[in-house]
Amino acid sequence: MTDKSLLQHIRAGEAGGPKMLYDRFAGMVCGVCRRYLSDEEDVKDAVQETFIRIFRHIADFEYRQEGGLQAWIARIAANESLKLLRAATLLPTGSLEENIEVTDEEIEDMEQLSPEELLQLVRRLPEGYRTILNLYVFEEKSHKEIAEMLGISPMTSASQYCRAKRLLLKMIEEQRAAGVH
Amino acid sequence: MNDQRFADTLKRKLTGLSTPPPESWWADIEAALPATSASPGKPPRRHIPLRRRAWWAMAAACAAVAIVVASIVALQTTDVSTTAHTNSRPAPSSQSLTQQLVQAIEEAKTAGDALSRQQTPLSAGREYSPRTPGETEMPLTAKAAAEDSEAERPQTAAPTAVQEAHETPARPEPHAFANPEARSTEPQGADDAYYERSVSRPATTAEATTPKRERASGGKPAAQLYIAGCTAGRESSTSAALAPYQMGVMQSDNYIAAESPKQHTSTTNLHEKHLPPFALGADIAIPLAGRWSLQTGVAYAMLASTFTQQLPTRVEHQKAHFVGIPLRIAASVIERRNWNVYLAAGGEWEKCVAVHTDQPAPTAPERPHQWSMQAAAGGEYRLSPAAALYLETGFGYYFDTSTTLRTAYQAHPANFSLKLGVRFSPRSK
Repeated sequence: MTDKSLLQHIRAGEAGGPKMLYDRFAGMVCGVCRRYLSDEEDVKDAVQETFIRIFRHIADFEYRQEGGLQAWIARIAANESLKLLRAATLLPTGSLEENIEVTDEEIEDMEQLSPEELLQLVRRLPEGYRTILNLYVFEEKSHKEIAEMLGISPMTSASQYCRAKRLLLKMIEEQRAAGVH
Repeated sequence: MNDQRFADTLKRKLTGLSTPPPESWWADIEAALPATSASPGKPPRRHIPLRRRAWWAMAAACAAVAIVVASIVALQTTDVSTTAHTNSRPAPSSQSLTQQLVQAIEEAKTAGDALSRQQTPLSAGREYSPRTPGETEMPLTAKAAAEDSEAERPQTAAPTAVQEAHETPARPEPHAFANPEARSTEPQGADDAYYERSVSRPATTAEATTPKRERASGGKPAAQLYIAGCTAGRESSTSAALAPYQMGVMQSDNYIAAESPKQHTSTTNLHEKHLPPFALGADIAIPLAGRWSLQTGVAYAMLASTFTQQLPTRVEHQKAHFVGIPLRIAASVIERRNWNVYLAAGGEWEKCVAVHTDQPAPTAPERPHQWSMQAAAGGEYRLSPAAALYLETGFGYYFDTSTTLRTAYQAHPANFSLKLGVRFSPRSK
């Protein structure tokens, strides 16, 4: 069943429609929420809120192309995850973190990790770093937009992203050196 | 270049990654699904996650506490009733009630010892009964005749006679007065009434300046003494007229305060009522480590008071305006993107900048400094990344500054207050 048919199925009120939608997208929603949230209880809350909001507004969703439903659901999941995050964990910094260039070796180390392993490392990042990393990389927000969303300065956003990147690469290197991979 | 590769690699690997949730999660989601088409009128039951419920419950509890405290503050007034015992003339009408009150308080402090000393004779006077229970009052003529036999006694015998009149009658035991039944056997007569009047000061100046003779006419013991004194001393009517004053001097110990006909007392009953201070502020919050921040700024407080004098009736309304600089440490308890709840503690220095009253005063009211220690709990809502609106309720202790200005700070040094303001957080843009 395509996403479009599934939508029609749900809007028609036919039995089993919501469960089918959940089965199709729950994993993806969990993946998005786990990128933002390290605590599993928070992940559960975010997932529940995401699907409640999906079913509440699914009648208003306008299907345009394949993949549009998934993108819409992913955006809701990201927003619900952000609601559970505390902006106070983002410490303002007075100066821009020095942006150290990423080396080719570090990129290769990253490529060798599985998505699940990479996700686990992202979840180990401090909450503030992780949030900005998600917004900048996955939501493709600018530092100015991130600053407005989180109530911080663009300088803080940029600095936090640099620190997140540096810390993630360090964790990748440590994991590789430990022979886990 | 590699920075972009880093972002692209990360995005490519993690976008669309599926991590299946536990099977049990669907049950909770299904229970909270919107109403189906079979029951369109049924509103959807929203499931509120437990952790978010807990945070909202804490925020609701804090808000409820703040509302209750604010309600108590709004309904509570400091009502201090001060009865001023002054031996001076009644204060001139040009003197403000606050000045009268401050003067009365100071006089009460200094007159404390005098009152205690005079209590002893008073208590003795209370124990004294000019006649034993059952004793009938001698007719005036008979008494005069009895004492005419003592007419040769020198003048000085008069006090003796008076003293005898004081002392010789069998005094009832003090407990007789304490025993209601014993007292009740005696009719409530002028004895008690006289002493009652002498205990409670005359309410009016006229009553106080009434010659002793007239005052004594209301009480039997005084009348008897007056009569005995004037007859035993062979005084003429002129001296009889003087006798009450002499008697007054001799009986001075039996009064609460030394009274002379030339000196009158006044009873001034002053009430003061103070509304809780309400403050406005504009603060700056300087972030420290973690959830801590340093707060300072400018605060304005208005203290409204009402002073009421009963006799003569006067009402005076006072508004004192203070401007201050607080300095305190704050810690965020609950933090969200747009709001947070915090606790703060510190001190404040205030300066009274204006005092307005609706009654004229001969001298300008004092405008003192005021130091205080404060603790507060509040919530702020972020209007922008740099500014937040806050509402807080606080408890403060205002140190004594020996000022003559009477406000809630002096009447009730420890009190609650409500504060509304705007707080700026310095951030670089």
